[in-house]
Order: sequence, then structure tokens, then C-alpha cells
Amino acid sequence: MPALSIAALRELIEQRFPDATPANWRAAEPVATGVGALDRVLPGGGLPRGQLTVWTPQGGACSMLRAACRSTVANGERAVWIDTAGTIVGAFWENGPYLVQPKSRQDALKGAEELLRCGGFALVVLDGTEPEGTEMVRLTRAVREGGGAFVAITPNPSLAKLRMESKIIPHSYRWTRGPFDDPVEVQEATIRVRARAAGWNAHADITVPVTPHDVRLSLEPGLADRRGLPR
Amino acid sequence: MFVCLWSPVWRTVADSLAELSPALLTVAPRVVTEERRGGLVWVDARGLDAEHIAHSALEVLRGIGLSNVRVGIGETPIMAELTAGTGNGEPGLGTGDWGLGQEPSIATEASSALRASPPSPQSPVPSSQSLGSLPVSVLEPDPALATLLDGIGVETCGELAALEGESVEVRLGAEGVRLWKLARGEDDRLIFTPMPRELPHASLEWSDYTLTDTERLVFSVNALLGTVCEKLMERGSLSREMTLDLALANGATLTNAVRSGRATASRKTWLRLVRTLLERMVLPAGVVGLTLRAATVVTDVGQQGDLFDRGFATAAATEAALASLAEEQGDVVVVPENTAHPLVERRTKWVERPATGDGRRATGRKRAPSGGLSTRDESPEGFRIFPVARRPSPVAGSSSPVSLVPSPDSSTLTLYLLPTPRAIEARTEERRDHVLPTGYRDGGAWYGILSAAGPDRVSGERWGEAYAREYFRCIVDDGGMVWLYHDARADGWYLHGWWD
Repeated sequence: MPALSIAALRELIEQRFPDATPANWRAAEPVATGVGALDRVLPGGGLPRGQLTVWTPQGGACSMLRAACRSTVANGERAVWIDTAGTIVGAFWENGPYLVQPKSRQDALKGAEELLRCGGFALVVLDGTEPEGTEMVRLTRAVREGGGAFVAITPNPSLAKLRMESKIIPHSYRWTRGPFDDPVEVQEATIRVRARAAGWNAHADITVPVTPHDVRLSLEPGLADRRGLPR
Repeated sequence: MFVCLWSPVWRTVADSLAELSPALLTVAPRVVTEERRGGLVWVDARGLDAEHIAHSALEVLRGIGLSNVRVGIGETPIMAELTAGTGNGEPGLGTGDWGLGQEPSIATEASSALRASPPSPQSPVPSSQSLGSLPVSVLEPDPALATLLDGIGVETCGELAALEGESVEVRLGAEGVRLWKLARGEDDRLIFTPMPRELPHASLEWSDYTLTDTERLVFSVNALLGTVCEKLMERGSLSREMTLDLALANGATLTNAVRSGRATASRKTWLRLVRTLLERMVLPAGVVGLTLRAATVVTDVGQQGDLFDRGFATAAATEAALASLAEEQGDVVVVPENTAHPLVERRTKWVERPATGDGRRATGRKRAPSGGLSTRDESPEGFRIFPVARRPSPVAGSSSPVSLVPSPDSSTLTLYLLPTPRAIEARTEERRDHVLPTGYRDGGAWYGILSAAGPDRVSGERWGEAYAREYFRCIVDDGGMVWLYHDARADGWYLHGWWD
């Protein structure tokens, strides 16, 4: 068949099925995080599929990756967050991604391998477990087999195709102030994100809001609360 | 077709009608006896040559000394029953005493005259050749209803069947409707109970040796699994539970149930489960035989979907992976159920994530899925993952019920909690009615606090385990924001969480 006809056929299919993607989309298209400034510093515009990304656990890693999970789900794919340490707060867990809370480190690694290998998840985030040595090799093989993006929040960067670092700039917090000029509520903070890969080194400062925490106060903040105290 | 046999002289040959069943079972697959109307014998001829079976049944009965037997053939039980009872299906012969009040005509052979057909939809009233002219009394109405029917001038089945259903329901009640349906030849009685299909099974026995080694047992079970799983797939079924019987050399049998988190016919999955079972098992003696049977079988309901949907191709694999995770680790795929408890760490109960049928998260059974979710599957078959939805269109006012949850297109610093608050040492300074932390030591290192907001006081549980905490949000000199609290009861400082 002439090449011209194939191109015409491809164009026709793209018009007829605008949401269809080529069979090799998993290998070709990175997983966008949904944070424009972050996507711009990532090689290819997103987290690479079929490869390991390591994010050093400093300030801002979870906020960026949770945004990536939400974006993945919003794009019609599946994302899973493996929370080994059980640090996720239920009141702040958003609708969309799967949340897995393994009971042990070994369970977390086995679960991650299974979920990576099945190929049904565009993004798998492993938090609270630091794979080492052969464990990292196994996970790398699994993610290559499954074709999704895999991000391990760990300081161990071995075998990682992409290395991410982030840090909240200490003096970037913006507060609302009370009548005595005391800080009352944090409005936003700036995270410096750096992405490193072979032949790639980029960074960006991303200002993000701070989720207002939801402490249910017993009394007015300015009054001493003596309930619960021994009389 | 139903074949009904009736005779006024059953008792002269057999004390119990059930004694006739073995003889009749030589010509028919199923026989049921009934003591009503002096004794009825039902022969199941559905899907078979009814007239041939009727002939054969009469021959068999004649062979054991019963020559005066009436036989009726009908598409419904009532048609066959009335035909047998009224004699040759000829109208007028049957009476309210079911032929006992007069000399019944003896059917010596089944003929087409015995065959009765239900009224056609076009003519719901039975024809004169069937039930139409039979008296209503052959349907054995309740005495009160019989009086009522007599009062309104309904004497025959045809007249009753000609009435409108709504009128019958209003004027004669539920019993009247039942009788009206019988008069129309409609009879949904379950004469023959459904026969359960034999579940797939396979077995293996050997006598020359005994097996105690797990690997060899797994090898043998693998062969049996091949047979059972193949049968399941042929039937379009899935199994949720299998039973493995181990015949031991000492004559005992060990029966073990193997359950899967989701119904499956996957040999690989079942082999993994059986292997796990056998590895944990302590055998009191060598094994000389294995029997594997599917104990719980469900129909494999196939799903249709958009071939161009990204998630469709991976739905089954995802479902299998999550099910495998659930089998090995329990309910680890969770969603939060939040309460209004003042303490954040006691506010959430993690529960197993319900099946949503779309492959994406839903935050518990009580919440509606967010925009873009389409199908919802509430099947109890564990995880059912179907195509993920396409990109949801933004819907005004569709924000999550929890206002704290950020929108999908933004990242936010969110609170994370330590599983247990960690005791720390804190430096403080006085400020009005409280103290403010200026630094703390955790794990041997001191952290300076650049700014702190608080206190947010939380207290409660006067009757239970009382608590009184003063929370502070503190910016640490390395840039992180931590959540510290001062326990006002124990006068101690704790690190409870951080924003990330």
C-alpha cells in the first residue's frame, strides 16, 4: 500500500476516533502531572512510562505526586498510591486514585510489583518504603513490563531514569496575620523542584496553596480551653 | 410437554404411588407423584416425544396390572391434569368429582385426542376441544369462591377465562385470579424441580506410592486444575471456591476449601492459592489420592466496552491484580470513612474500597462518583474493573463533599500524620496566655522554628480518655512545616505531623 494511503488512513482514523491512541502510547507518552510548571521541567513533559523515577523525600514531593495522581485519573487512566507508613490523613484524601495501605514493607514491595506488572495503572507511587538492591531491580523490571510510570519516594536513586528533588523554600510561606500581627493561617508556599536525567537538568519554583487543616476547636482560639484538664 | 397419569384404582396395585416410580423411570427421565385428586403421577416429557412416552408409560403400568389408567398430555400441568381427569379430553365427561362419580372412560392408549393445548394469545378462552366447556369445579375452587362464581353465573372454565383480569382481581381477589389463570391454561406450578448441574471436578488416585512432598502434590493438583478450569471455561463459568480432598494412606480424608477473592477460572490463580494452602498444611500421612471440585460457581458475565477506551484493554488485568492483592494481604485497597471526631487521628476509619465498575476510585459507598464515571457495578464478586471513563467534563458545583480536598488541576501542601505522635523536646517562649515553641529536638537534632501559628486548642472526652492539646503549625528552618502539640494534661510536647 502506498505510504500516502497509510497516512490518509491514519488521518481518517484520528478524525473518526479522536480519543483513540496508538498501541504504543504507553511507551511513547509520558504521564503528565497536571502541574504545568512541573511538566515543563520534566523531560518529555511528564513522568516517563515504563521507567523508574525516584523522588527524594523532602518538602513538596507528595503534593506534586498527588497532583499527578489526580491528573492521571482526570485523564481517564488509573493511578495508585501505596502508603506503607500509613501517613495519609483520611480527611485530606481526594477522590480518584487508588490508595493501598500494606501492612508491612514486604507487602508494599510485593503489591507494588504486582500493580506495576499488571499494566493497568498509568502511575504508581510508592511512599514510605525504600527499595534496595535487588528489590529495586525487580520493581524496575515490573514497571518496564507493565508500561506505567513508577515513582518511588526514596533517597536511593539507583536504577532511576529520572531523579527528582524538591524543597520548600523556608521564607516563601505567605501568612495571613491576626490583630496582634501573629501568623494565623498559611496561604501558600513555594517549592523548588529539580529534575535530573541523562542529559537533562532543569528546575522550577512552583508556588502552591496550603490545604487548610481542619482542627475542630472547642472554644474560641484566643480563650484558654480547660476542658479535659484535671480539676 | 407434561404427561399426567390418573387412575381410580391405584391403590389396588400399590400402597404408595411412589412405588410406581421405579417402573416409570424406565421410560421417562423424571417422575413425580402427587396425592391430590386421588393420586396423580407426573412424567416429565419436556423436550421429548410426549406421545411416545405416554404410550410407553401405559405399557409399563399395564405390565404391573394397571389397565384402567387415563393419560393426559399438555403444554402446562393444568392442561395435562384436566385432560387426564376428564377422560380423552372430551368435554362433558369430566365432572366435579373428578370422574369418580361416574364410570370414567378408560384411556388405554395415548392419542392425539389426549393432547391439550393452552389457549392461544389470540383466543385466550379455551376452545371447546380443550377446557372451555369444563365446569369450573374441575379447578377445585375454594368453597366461598365457588359460591361467588355461582352467584355471578360463571359455570364453565371458558366463561371464567373470558372475564377481564382486572375485573377478576377486583371482584374475586387473589384466589380468583389464580383460578382465572388456570381456566386460561396458565399454570406455573413447578412440578419438576430444576436439576442442578454437576459442578466441574477431577480426581486422581494412585496406590503404588504415597506423596508427602508439597511440590509433587502441587504438580498433581496442577493437572487436576487444568481439567477443572477448562470445564469452567467451557461452561462460561467462574469459580469462587474450590474443594481439595486429600485421600491419605491411613484411610482418612482431608477436605480443604480454597477461596479466591474474586470468581475466576484462571488456572494460574488457583494454582497459586492451592500452593499456598499445601505449603501451610501438615500432613498426618502420605497422600494416595486427590479430588478437586469447584464448590461455588458463578456465571462469567462478559462486559462490553469501547475498544478505543484506554482502560478497557487493561481492565481485566487490573481487576486480577487487585484481587490478588486482596487475597494475599487482605483489605489493603481502602477508602476513608471520616467522622467529626475532634482528633484527626481518630477521625478516619479505613474501609475496603467498594467495587465501582469503572476502574477508578469512588470515595466510599455513600458518595456519588465524580464526573466522568459512568457504569457502576455493585456485584459482590470482588473487584470488577471496567473501562475507565474518558476525560470528565468540568461540571459547575461538582466539587468533592469534603471542601478540604484540592481540585484535580492543582497541587497543595497537605497534612500527613505520624502513625503515633512522637515525643519531642521543645524550647518555648511566653506569649500572652500560652507558650510558643521556638525550636524542638527530634532524633537527636535540633530544629529551629522560624514562625509558628497557634495554639489551636482541642480537648474533650470528659468521661473517657480525656485529652487537651494545643496545636501549633511551625515553619522549620529547613523549610518544612510541622504540626506540634503541647499535651496540656501531661505537659509534654509531641510531633504529630507535617505538610508535604
